[in-house]
Amino acid sequence: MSDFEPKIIAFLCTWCAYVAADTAGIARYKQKPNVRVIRVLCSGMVDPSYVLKAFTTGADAVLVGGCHPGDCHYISGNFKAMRRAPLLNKLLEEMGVESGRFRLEWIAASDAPQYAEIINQMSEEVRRLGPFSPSMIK
Amino acid sequence: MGTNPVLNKKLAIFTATGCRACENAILDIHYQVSSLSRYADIAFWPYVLGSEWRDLEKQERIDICFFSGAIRTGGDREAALKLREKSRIMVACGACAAFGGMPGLVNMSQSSGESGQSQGTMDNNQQASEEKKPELPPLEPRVLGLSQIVKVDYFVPGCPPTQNFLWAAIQSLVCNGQSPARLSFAASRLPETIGRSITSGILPPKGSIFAGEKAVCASCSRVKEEKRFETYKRPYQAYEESGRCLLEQGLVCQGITTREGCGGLCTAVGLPCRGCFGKAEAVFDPGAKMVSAIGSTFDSDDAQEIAAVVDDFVDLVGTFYRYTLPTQCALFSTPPKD
Amino acid sequence: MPTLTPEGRKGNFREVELGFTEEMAREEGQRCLSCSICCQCGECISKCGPKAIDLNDHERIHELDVGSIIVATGFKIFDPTPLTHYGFGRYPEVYTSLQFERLNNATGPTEGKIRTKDGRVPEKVAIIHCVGSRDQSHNKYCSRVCCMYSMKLAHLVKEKVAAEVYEFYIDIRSPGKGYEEFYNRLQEEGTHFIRGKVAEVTDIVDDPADRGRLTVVAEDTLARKIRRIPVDMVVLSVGLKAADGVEDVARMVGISQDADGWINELHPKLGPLATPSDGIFIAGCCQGPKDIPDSVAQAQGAAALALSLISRGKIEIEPTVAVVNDRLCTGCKTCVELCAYSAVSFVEEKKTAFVNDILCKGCGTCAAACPVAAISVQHFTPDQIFAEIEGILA
Repeated sequence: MSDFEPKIIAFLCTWCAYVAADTAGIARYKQKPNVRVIRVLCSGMVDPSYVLKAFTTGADAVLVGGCHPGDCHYISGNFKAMRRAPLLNKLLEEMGVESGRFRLEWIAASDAPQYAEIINQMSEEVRRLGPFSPSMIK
Repeated sequence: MGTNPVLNKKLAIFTATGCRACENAILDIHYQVSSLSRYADIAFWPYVLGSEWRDLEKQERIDICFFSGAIRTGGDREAALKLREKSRIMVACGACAAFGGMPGLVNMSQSSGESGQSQGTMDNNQQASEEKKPELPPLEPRVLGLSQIVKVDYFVPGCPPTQNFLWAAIQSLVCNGQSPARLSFAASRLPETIGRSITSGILPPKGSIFAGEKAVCASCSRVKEEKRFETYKRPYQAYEESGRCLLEQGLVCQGITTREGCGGLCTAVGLPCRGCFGKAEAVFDPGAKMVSAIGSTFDSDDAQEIAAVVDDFVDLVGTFYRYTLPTQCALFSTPPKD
Repeated sequence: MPTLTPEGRKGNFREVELGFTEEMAREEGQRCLSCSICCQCGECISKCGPKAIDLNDHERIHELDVGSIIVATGFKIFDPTPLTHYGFGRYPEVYTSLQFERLNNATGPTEGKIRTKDGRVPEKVAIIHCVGSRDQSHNKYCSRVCCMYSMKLAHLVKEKVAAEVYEFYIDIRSPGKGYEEFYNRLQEEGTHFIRGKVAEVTDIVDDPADRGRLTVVAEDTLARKIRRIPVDMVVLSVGLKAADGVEDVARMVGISQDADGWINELHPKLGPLATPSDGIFIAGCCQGPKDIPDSVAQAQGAAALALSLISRGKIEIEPTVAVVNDRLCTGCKTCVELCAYSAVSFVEEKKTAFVNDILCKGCGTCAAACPVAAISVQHFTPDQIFAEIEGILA
């Protein structure tokens, strides 16, 4: 599928990840155009329902970006995201969502190059995995 | 059968692919059965009366059809369509009809996509005696809930439905609020529209669910102290008989996302809720919310500790969507992208 | 007490009270009741001019409803006992800086004179910087005040007993008004500053004439040689640590500590006095080691912040706060303990959760965790986010 362009939904927290994404854009880092950003206040605000909604609406992958542990603007919101992620991963894998389609990443506000690298890498990986279809069951 | 044949409602009671516990539950309303016989004329009930399809065809109209069981075979689909066409009001009775039920779990397996022959292998011996065996109808590509085939007017969830709300459905739909017999709803709250239909016969809006509005926790008798999930426990593992919330003791109780109505029958005796009443009102996907609620309350912020606890969990899909995979699991209830 | 006659006082500045003779002192001493505890004799009451003593007073617990709290629990010094190579607790002439301060104090055991424990005047004093601070094995941070107080102690030694003073340092940290100038003055006064961490304080001396002294062994990194300097007294410039019992105070008011035990401020640059919990302010060393001028500045700032809450009469909050839908809330209590700001409470009468929108910062953690989606953050509701997802993937 050489012409497959993955659609990646990124839930980025306002205070760190979103700022990094914004800075990456301003600094003109080369980024693949596959990511569509939804700004949330905190990575802890990302309900697993949103992740599932994204997959059922046509996303091929979902990225959740938050502050580094210890640096959360709301003190411990990212810890809650960190607690939910492994269980959500397990549920997704049981339902046939391949590993690599859902990622939780810590992105500091000053780390624009890291943000660009993550989305470029993720775009490539999802391109390899191919489009996601909800009827795909193991 | 009834006192006044003109006023009596014509009933059809049918199970597609199911265990028939829902039909038993209708009989299980004990002495209220006399009300049923007074207000209803059961025209089609294969299970109890041995009715056949031609008995149904003789009827001009059916007032209310209590349809149980999931849609698994072509025969189920045909039955659903036939009964929907004949019936004024179609009630999805029980978790299988309402949500797809336990048979719905088969949708996780790839081989449910094959149509035609049954799952068993056909060897030479079987081929010889094939004529003697009844022909199995073709399998649907996936198990479906009733509402995914026909328009359903009311839902009575549960596996099987509990006495209280089943009686509420009969009282309001069949007896139109006329029957003097009442059941106690002290154990769980009664939504206003349902309460009104029981007492005055004003039907609830189409699509209503004969169950409570909140989740099971609201009517569960256990004490909730502080939500902190430390370790994962299987139901057979010891837990303290302290009257404390089961989820707080490490059992995966789905009462937090499941619609109430049963009065917390299972949790009261120490059995974690399995979610047979389906998801509570505002929930998008019960599995996602269970993951969120349990995950958020893990008693650790260390990645390795969390990974170790998560490792203990088994069969998340089978647990969270035990009764609701075809209709309420976001990923599995979406039609395939073609 | 015999006094000087009025005539004897004229034209001079002689002390009026002549003092006791030995017999008078002994007689006075006989009056002591040797009770050692308060026997409620009431002597103190009659002697107290302002009538400040009330023997009938007792411990009372007051409950106050307050709008803000300022936490100023201070610090304690680092205990150098684990640093056995410095000999604190083993050698009598190894002191902590706080002990040495007390020695220098006019109300202290020697009325401010610097003497060894056997009464000698020291000829050489060593001051060792960074004891317990800037140390990978103990506290990694710099305690900020030690360089300046070490220099103060060095200056006092020079002034009082004109001893040789050796200061063993890693870096000299002297920011602040007049601080660098003070450092220069000390150098002019002849204090020896040796750049090197002290490896050992030992009672083994190289020269028999130094028997009884302590030898301080350190590498002088600038001169590139090992120094073994015999001294009479060693002062350990101990660092600062968070005070005992801070964890309990912090937990009680709902604030947190960092890895070193200092209270977490709202923002390291822009919010040094506030905490994430609204209405709780911090001041002084509990937030991090600092000297007196900085502590005073913080205290005044914290007081001003607290006053500003009171004087305004109303406060502005962000609209993005979480709201509980009572119709849906089942009272499962999943949300209550998740809030970092303690904004979510449980209302027993209604068996539902309640979000205090003054404290709520809108992070949405409770909303995401709620198993029935009964809590949602205004302007970030599930419906709105679902609409975004659908729109963005259309």
